[in-house]
Amino acid sequence: MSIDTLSFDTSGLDRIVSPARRELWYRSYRRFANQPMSVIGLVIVVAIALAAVFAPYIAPYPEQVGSFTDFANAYQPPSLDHPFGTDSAGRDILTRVIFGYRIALLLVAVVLGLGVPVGVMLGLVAGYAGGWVDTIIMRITDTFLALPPLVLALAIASAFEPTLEVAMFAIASLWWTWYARLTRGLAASLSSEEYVQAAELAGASTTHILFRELLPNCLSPLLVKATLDAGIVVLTGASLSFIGLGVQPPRPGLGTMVANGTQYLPAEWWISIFPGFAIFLLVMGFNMLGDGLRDLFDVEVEQ
Amino acid sequence: MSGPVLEVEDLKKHFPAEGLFSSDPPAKAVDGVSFSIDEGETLGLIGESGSGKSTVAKTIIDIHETTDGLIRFNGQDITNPIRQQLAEMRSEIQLVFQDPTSCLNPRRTIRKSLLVPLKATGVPRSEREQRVRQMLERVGLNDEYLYKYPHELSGGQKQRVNIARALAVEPSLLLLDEPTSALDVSVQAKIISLLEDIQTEFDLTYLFITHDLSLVRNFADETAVMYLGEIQEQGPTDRIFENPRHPYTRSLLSSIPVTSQQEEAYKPDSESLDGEVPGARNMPSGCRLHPRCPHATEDCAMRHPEQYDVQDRDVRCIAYEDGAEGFERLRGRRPVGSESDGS
Amino acid sequence: MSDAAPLLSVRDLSVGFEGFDGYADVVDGVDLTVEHGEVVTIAGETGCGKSVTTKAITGLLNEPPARVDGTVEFDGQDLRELPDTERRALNGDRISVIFQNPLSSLNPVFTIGEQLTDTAQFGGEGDTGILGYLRRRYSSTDRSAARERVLDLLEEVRMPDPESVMDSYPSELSGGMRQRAIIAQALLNEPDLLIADEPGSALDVTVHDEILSLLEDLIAKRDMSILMITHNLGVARQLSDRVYIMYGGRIAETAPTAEIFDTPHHPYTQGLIASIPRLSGESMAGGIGGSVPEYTDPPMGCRFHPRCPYADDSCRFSEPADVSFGEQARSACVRHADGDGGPVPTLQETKRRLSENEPTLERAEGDR
Repeated sequence: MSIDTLSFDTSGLDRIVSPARRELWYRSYRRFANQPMSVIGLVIVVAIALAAVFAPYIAPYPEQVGSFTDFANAYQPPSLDHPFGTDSAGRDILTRVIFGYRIALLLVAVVLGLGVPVGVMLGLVAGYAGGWVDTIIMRITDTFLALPPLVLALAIASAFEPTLEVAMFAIASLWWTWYARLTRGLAASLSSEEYVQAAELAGASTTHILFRELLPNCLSPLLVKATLDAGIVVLTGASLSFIGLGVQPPRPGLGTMVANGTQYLPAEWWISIFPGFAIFLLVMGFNMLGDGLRDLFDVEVEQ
Repeated sequence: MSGPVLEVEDLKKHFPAEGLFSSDPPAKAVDGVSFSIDEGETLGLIGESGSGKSTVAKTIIDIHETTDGLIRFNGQDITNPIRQQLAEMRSEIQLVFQDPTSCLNPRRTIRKSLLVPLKATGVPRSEREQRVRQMLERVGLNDEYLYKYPHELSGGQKQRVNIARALAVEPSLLLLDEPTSALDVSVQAKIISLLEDIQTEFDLTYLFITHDLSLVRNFADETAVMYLGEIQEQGPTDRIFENPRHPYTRSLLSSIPVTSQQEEAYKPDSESLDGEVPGARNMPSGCRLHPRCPHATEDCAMRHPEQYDVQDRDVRCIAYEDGAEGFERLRGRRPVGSESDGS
Repeated sequence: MSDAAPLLSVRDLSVGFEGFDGYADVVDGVDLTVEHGEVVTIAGETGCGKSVTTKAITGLLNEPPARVDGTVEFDGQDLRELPDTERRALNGDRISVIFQNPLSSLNPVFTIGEQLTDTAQFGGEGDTGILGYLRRRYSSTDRSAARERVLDLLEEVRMPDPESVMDSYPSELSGGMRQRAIIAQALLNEPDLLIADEPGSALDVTVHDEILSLLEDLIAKRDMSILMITHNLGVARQLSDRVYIMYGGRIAETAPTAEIFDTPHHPYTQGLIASIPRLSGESMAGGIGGSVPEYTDPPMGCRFHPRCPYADDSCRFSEPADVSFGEQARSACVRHADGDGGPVPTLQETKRRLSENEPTLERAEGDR
C-alpha cells in the first residue's frame, strides 16, 4: 500500500529520497490529515501565505496601499465596494490587510530564517562538545536571553531609526537563543544514545555526528517550536508596530493599523478591528498548525 | 482431597485491533489453553515472547477479561468474577511479577508496601504488624528491612519482598511470572530455593511462567510449552525433557547453551526453526509453527492440529495424530518394530 | 600459545568514580589479554565491573567523572596515551563494538541502508572537516561502492531479503534482523578485534542460538579476535577459548573454557556454576548468600569473603594473590595455598557447603 504501486519510473527520485522514507511521510500525512484542527491551521496559514505572495494580484485596490489619499472616501463602513471599509485616509482596508500580511510573513521568514539556523548550530555544538565549549556558548545564550526583546528593540530604535528593518534586526538578534537552548538540551541527551556512541567508535567525523546522527533526531521538536514561534514573532512585530517602533506609516503594518485605528473606536470600529482580527487569524493558524505537528510527532514517538 | 486447585479450559484472550475503523484482525494472545494444577504441584509454563504465557496469568487473575473459556479455582468458577469474588480471590490467588522494582512504590517503606494487601483483604489491625514481620522473616530478611526504601535493596531482596507481600495474605495459589528473569544466576538460585521451601511449608500450588527451560526442569512437576497462544506440548516434566516430542519443544531444547557435557546429552540434535516468531496478528494458517518447522509438510499448512494424547502427554502436532510413531516417520526414520509403509 | 605479542593487553586497569558517598573503585587492578584469533569472554554478574572495563578499553568513559589508571595496549600501542583523534581513528579502523540492545544501537530516523552505508564511508581519512564530509557523502561513486559492500556484508550475516532490509527502518525489523544488522555494521571496517557486549541477550532463545552460530562461523572465516562480555555462562562456554570471571571489580579466576567449567578453582566460580539450573535435572545448590558488594564500601581484603563458605579471618586482611594453575589459568584465593592445612575448594565441596548453609537472615549492614 505504498506510493510505489504507481507505475512511473521513480528511480531518479529514489536516489534522493528513498521509498521507505516517502512511505513514512505518506503515513505521517495521513495521520495529520485525520486531525481536523491541524488541517484548519494549515489551511489558514497556507491561504494567508498565498494571499501575501499574490497580494498585488488579488488585492482589490493595490494602488491604495501606501501613501494614497482620497479623503472623500474616508471613514467608509464595510460595504460591497470595500469589504473592510476605508480608513482615515480613504484607503481600502482589505487591501492594506493583505499587504500587511506580506510584511508579517516577511518578518517571520527573516527572524526565523536567521535565528533558527544560528541557534540550532550553536546548540548542536554546545550539546555534543560539552565542557567549556558548552559553558561558553550557554553563558552567551543566557546573556541574550536575559534581555527582553521589546526593551532591546526600544533601545535599538532610539539609537537608530524606528523602522521595520531595525525591528527585524532587534528581534532576530534575540530569537536564536531559544533554539540554542532547546537544541543543546536535545543534543546533550542524544549524545549518550548508543547509536551515537557506535558511530563514534566506528570512526565517524564530528560533522557526520552533528548532522546525521544528532540533528535529524532533533528535527521534530524544533519544527514544532518554530511553527508556534511564528505566531509569537507576528505578535511581537505587531506589538512593536503598535507602540510605534516597527512598521512606520504609511506602510501597511498590521500593528500600526491597529494603533492608528484606536482613536476612532468605537464609532469607526472597522479601522482597528479588521487588522486586529487579521493578526489574530494568522497567529491562531500558526498555533493550530504547531499543535497539530506536536500531536503528530508525539504519536510517532510512542510508536 | 477434592479436585485440582486451578483448572483452565479452552481459555481465550483476544485483543481487538486499535483504532476506531481499523480492519486489522484481533491479536489472539491466548487461543484455547487448557490445563489443571493439583494441590502442592508446580506447573511450568514455558514460552518465548509472543507465546501468550504472561497473558494467561493476567487473565486468570482478572487483569484482563476473558474472551472465552473457563477458569475454575477449587471448583468454583472465577472466569469473569464479580466484585465479591474478586475480594475473595485476592486472598487466595497472588501474582509475583518479573521486575521486582516496578512492583514496589519507591516512596513507600517496605513495611508500608507489605501492609497494603493485608489492609485490602481485611486482616484485623492487631494481626497485621505481626504477619508482616513473620513473612519478612520467612523470606530471609530481618526487621531492619521494614523501614528501608526499595532503592536501598538489591534485586534479589526486592523480589523477596514481593514474595513476602504475596504470602502475607496466606494464598493457596501463586502465579509466578518470570520471577527470576531479572536476577543474576546466584540470586536466582536462592529465590528458587526459597520458593521450594515455602511451597512445602505452606502447601502452595504454583503456576510458574518462564522462558528458561533449565529452570522448569528443576522446579516444575508438569510442563506446558506455549507457542503463539496455544499449548504445543504438555505433560510430566521429566518425561518431556527426556523425550521431547513436539518439534517446537525439540527446537527450544536444542538451542540452549549449556554448561556441562552431561547436559549436552539432553539436547536433541540441532533442529533449528526458520525465521522468527510472527506477530499475533499474522497467524499462519493450519499449524502455527508450520512456516518455521523443519519437519513441516503440506498438510501442516492446511489443517490446524488438535492436542493428541500420546502415551504420557499431549502433543499438538499433526505427526502425532496416530500416535507416537508418526513423528519418527516424519523424520525419515522407521520406528522400531513397525512395518515399513513408505513415506 | 604463541609467543607473539597479544592483540589486546590490559594491565592493572583501575577505574574509579567520584560519587555521592565518596570515591569508588569500580574496577580494581584488572589484567587480561586477548591473543590474535582468540575468543575471550569476561563473565560476571551484575555489578562486577565488566561493562566499565569494556568502556575503559574502548575509550567511552568520560575521564573527568571517571579516573582511569593502568595500560590498555592494542597491538603494542598504549591506547590511553594516544591523542583523542588518533584513538578514534584506531578504534574506527581496527576495533568494532556491538552493544547489547540492537534497537538502540541503530539510529531510528535512517534506514538500515543509509546508516550502514554511512558507516562504510567512515574511516581512512578521519576527520576531514565539513567539505571532506560533503564530498564523500555526496560522491555517487563512493556511495554506491560503499552500498555494495554493505549488501555483501548483509548476505554474509545471513540477513533474509537484504535488498528490502536496506530500505527498512530499524523499527520495522525483527529483533534477530536488527542483531544481524549491527553485526554487519561492526564488520564493515574489517576489525581485528570485535568487542561484543551481551550479544543477543535481548532475543528469544531460538533466535539467539542462530546468532551465536552465526558468530561461530564468522570467527572461523575471518581472522578476528572477539572479546565478549556476558552474564550467561552457557553462552561463554559455547563460543570462547578462554574465560575471565569477574567479581567486585577484580578478576577472580581465569582459565581456558573447558577447565573453567570442569574444574573451577575459585569458590565464587564454583558457587556460580553450582547455581546454574541443569537441563539434566540435577538439583541446584541454593545459590550464594549475601549480595554483591557496594562500590563505595567494598569488603576489606578479598571482595568475596563475606559470602564465601571457606572464608576465615585471613581473608579479610589481604587481597589474595593470583595462584597459577597452568599457563593460562589463575585464580585469586587464599585457600589455594592450603595443602594439607585446610580444605582446597573443589566444586563438590563448595556445592555441599552452600547447600548446607541455613538460609541466612540477611543483615542489612552485615554482609560485608
